[in-house]
Amino acid sequence: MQVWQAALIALFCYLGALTTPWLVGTTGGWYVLTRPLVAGFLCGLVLGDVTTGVLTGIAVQAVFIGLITPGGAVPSDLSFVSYLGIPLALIAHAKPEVAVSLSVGFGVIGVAAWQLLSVGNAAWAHLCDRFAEEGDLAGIIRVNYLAQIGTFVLRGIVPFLVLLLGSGFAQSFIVFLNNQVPWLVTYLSLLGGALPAVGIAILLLQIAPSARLIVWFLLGWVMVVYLKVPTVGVAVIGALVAIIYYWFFSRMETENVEARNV
Amino acid sequence: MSDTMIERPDDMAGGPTPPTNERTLTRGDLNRAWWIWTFFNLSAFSMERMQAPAFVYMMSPILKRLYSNDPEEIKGALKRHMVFFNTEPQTGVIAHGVTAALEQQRANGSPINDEMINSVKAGIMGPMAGIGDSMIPGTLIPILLAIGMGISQGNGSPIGPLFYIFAYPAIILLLSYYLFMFGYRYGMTSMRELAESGFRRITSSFAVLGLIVAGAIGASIITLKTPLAYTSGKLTVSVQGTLDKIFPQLLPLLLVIFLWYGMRRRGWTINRALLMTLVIVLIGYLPGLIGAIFGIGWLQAFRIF
Repeated sequence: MQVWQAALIALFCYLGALTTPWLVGTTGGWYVLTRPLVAGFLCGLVLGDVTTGVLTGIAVQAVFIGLITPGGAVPSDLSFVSYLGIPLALIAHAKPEVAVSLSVGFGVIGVAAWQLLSVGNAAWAHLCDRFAEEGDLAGIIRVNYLAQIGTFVLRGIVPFLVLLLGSGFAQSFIVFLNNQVPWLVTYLSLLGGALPAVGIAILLLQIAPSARLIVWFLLGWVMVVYLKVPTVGVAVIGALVAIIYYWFFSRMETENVEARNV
Repeated sequence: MSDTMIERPDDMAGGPTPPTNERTLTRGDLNRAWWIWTFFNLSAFSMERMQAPAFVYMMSPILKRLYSNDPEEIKGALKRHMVFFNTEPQTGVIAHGVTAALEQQRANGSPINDEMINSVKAGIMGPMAGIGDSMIPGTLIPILLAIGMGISQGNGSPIGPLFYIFAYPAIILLLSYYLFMFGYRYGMTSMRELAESGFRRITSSFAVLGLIVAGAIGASIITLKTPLAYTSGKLTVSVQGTLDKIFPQLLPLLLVIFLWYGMRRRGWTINRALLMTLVIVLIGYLPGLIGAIFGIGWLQAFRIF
């Protein structure tokens, strides 16, 4: 990997980090730039193979599609998944399924990095307390910018070094895997195909407040497997069903109210 | 916490301030506050105070307008808003709008104290964190991602990612801005208004859409096939072929249901679910693994996956 490529990808990693404000806060950063779908596209662009980048991004995205970060508790660190796992896999010409396994590994490492930052940042909050004591509003505003130092080191400088020093290693590692232990590659590919099930299960867990609602999930599933409806088509049909559900739900509620009043 | 109450008895005794001195937030103040929050909501995030520094930054145009000539009031407001704050950053802004409304009423002489402002903030940030997380990263984002993935799946075209890059911010910024202003307008009663206007119906309809799309993504993205086959006489029948005739993508569905059940009923963590997938695939691949290591070809026939 060229120095400029590593620098550019590390810059994406920083700009897309959970705590970076510059791209319209979490909206443009964490929820757009750091989604593996987008990261795959951008890494592909930088590394000169958009098609493979997008395909790898889609494969990795499937695992993390239901990822929510409630109260800052990150179950898997998307920054490193997207901007270490994906580019290193692309450089090494790994299959998308192998890239998935690789990215999941980086995600686990990244969680430790995130915890370090979010605990260490408490020092900034204490500084804010002092400014509040003095009635120094400008001081607190300044802290919102100064706190970027930690994020920049963790999400910019560290990934830059890993990408620069690690890309040669990643490449020879994948070559070694392919030649010496092909059964491991087969296992990783199988795993990469199955791991999205975790992402879908998490999503299911979060959207469905009651187990009965799982029939809607099955409806989406069978539309694809039996009727071969493309995903976009399912989304359109789903929107129509949701509207019908909304009407039905409101009628049911009014009837309930009327029944109670009688 | 009630020291601000003691500090301003003369204000309280004076009753409502005459309208000539009324301090009103302008549209510009509110716009600025919303923009500041939208950019900086997590920039100084820490586990201890979470979004509090950003909340104070967001309040800066509001405090400057309301308490510009009163350093003591500014100091009190800074302390008041440096307490723990955490919500879903994009939809939780109802709390910010309401807070702005409360501060404005307070600046104009309403007897609103620190506890009241903070309990209203906390009362909204909690539910909005839950609702926001399940509506935005839980439903809207997966739907948009699924559409993007659907567009580019197989061909690797950049249209899918580009669709997501433009669609998500456009939808969420409009929604977030609306919710902020909504919070400001309805002040204290905003959550009740929401409940009355059929919010629950909207969220459950959203859940239906999300679930249908989740099913579609699952069916098209998970790969789990079995190479098993059985021979009767001259006829060799592949198990996968039979399954595909009855219910295509059955194995992935069973895996999803199994993991979902484990997390829902057995309280598995996400890492536990990942580990289970690792183990299940490993067990299914074990005969192939042993066969490859020890060079026993016939064992391959017993691979489950």
